[in-house]
Amino acid sequence: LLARGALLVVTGPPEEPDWEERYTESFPRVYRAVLATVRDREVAKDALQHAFLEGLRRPPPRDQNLAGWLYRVAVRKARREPRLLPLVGLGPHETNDPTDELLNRLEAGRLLSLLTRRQREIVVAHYYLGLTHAETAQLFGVQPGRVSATIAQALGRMRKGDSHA
Amino acid sequence: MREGTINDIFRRDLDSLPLPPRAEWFPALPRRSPLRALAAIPLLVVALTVTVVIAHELASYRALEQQRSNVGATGSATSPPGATLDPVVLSGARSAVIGRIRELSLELLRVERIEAKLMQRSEFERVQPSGSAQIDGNRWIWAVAVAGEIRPPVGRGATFPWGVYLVDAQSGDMLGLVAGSGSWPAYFDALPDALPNPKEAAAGRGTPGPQPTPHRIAAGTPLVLLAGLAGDPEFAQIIALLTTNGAGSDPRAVGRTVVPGVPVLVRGLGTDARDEYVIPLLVDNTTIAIAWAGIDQDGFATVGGMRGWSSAATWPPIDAALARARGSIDSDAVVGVELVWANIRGFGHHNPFWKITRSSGDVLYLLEDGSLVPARAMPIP
Repeated sequence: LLARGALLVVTGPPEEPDWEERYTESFPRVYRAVLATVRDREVAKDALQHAFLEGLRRPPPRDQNLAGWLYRVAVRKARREPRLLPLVGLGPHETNDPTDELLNRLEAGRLLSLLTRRQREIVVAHYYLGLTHAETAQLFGVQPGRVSATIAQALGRMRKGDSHA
Repeated sequence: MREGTINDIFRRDLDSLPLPPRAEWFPALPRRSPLRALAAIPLLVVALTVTVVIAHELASYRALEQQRSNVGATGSATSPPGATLDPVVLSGARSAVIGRIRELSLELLRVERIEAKLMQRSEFERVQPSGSAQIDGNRWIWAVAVAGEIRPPVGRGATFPWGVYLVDAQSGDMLGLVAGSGSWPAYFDALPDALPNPKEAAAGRGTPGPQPTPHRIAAGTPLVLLAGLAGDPEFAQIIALLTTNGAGSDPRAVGRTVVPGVPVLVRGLGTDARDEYVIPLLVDNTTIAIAWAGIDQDGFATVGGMRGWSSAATWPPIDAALARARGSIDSDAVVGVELVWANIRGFGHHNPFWKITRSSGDVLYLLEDGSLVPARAMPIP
């Protein structure tokens, strides 16, 4: 199964656009946040790639919480377009995504599964990405009170589910 | 449940979720819908030469994409200590790209002849213009010509006696297909090839022939393998690629001396992954690439390919001591670490990872990007 022959290797000077660097630094944390929210790795990956392109066209301001910005753009994209299909005939595509199963083995995944999609988005933004209520409200375009209420409802569900478990 | 507890749970659990390979962090090249371009196919089929352009467009961010392929982040929360740049993205070898085209079994009804050439897009455009203004002529592509019977998936059932598939040599994306009548694309044999097949070069013609017999090297120990590499033609080709200006060169190696470091044994996990050696390739004590050599059942090694490296001065970027430390917890010490590879998506032989075994029997994988993943989350066939 080893590839025969030398592989073409592309190398270049270690310089890169600023946006790409910022995106790359944030990717691991934001990808995991999106994955925990949408529970499908292909959707999460596609949504973040979309966010990358969005930032390429119009980078978010420097003072904006980049992880939060990427997360919001990605979850919005995932909400609008839950599945991006590959071009026909261009190769196999995985359909048996194990993310759900993996998340269900994790306590955080089980807790998040008790929530609505909207609650998951806000809870992950707050508890995993570390956004404040105000930042979360600004990102999602809602009042801070709405974020607080959503988190309170989510906590209630998680506590209830936790005690049942 | 306290808020702090939720924070801890989320951080602990979500941080363990595996990441996709770095090459997938960025979008593939945007594709234009092929339907419009293909609408005229039935009319054109009657002509002697018909061109079917399925999907090829290099978008405005191509230049950035090119750089993305070259280098990556300057560090992230999960990067291993010492890592300053991502590993260079590798491209497909000739046999790999031919193999990939052969896998298109639904559209390749019959294959009589298949050849691949590496070139810049402009060289292909010269003989087969796409008419697109957004094509980047400097992009390296594989042109894979197939003679036989080809039925493009969007060709409304029409079949063609030959087709030339275009594959982006860096990203591996399928860029398009040109199909026509006749027995073989008339221009293909005249196209340049940046990586001439040694056998073809010896024969003086681009006619297809059997693949050269793999050169086997004694590999009883790393040092025996190291000695054998000196006379290995595949290994010499890799060194030549790195050091000679061209598609596969590394600026750090051009005109310099590249020496192999001590080969590192990497165990293959699963049913179809054999053990292999990874050989760091050094310039001035800095690893600029890695080559690998699979070990067969007789204990001989065959050089399989290479991957550029700019992630750290040494390879592997995470050493055994650090892997052991990363995997240990107070209640469950690490009892074994070993470098492994697996033949699963995103974890090929070119990016081994650490298998960590705890005293409880728990097994974890420490991936190249620093992620620690429970083995059960990454099933290996």
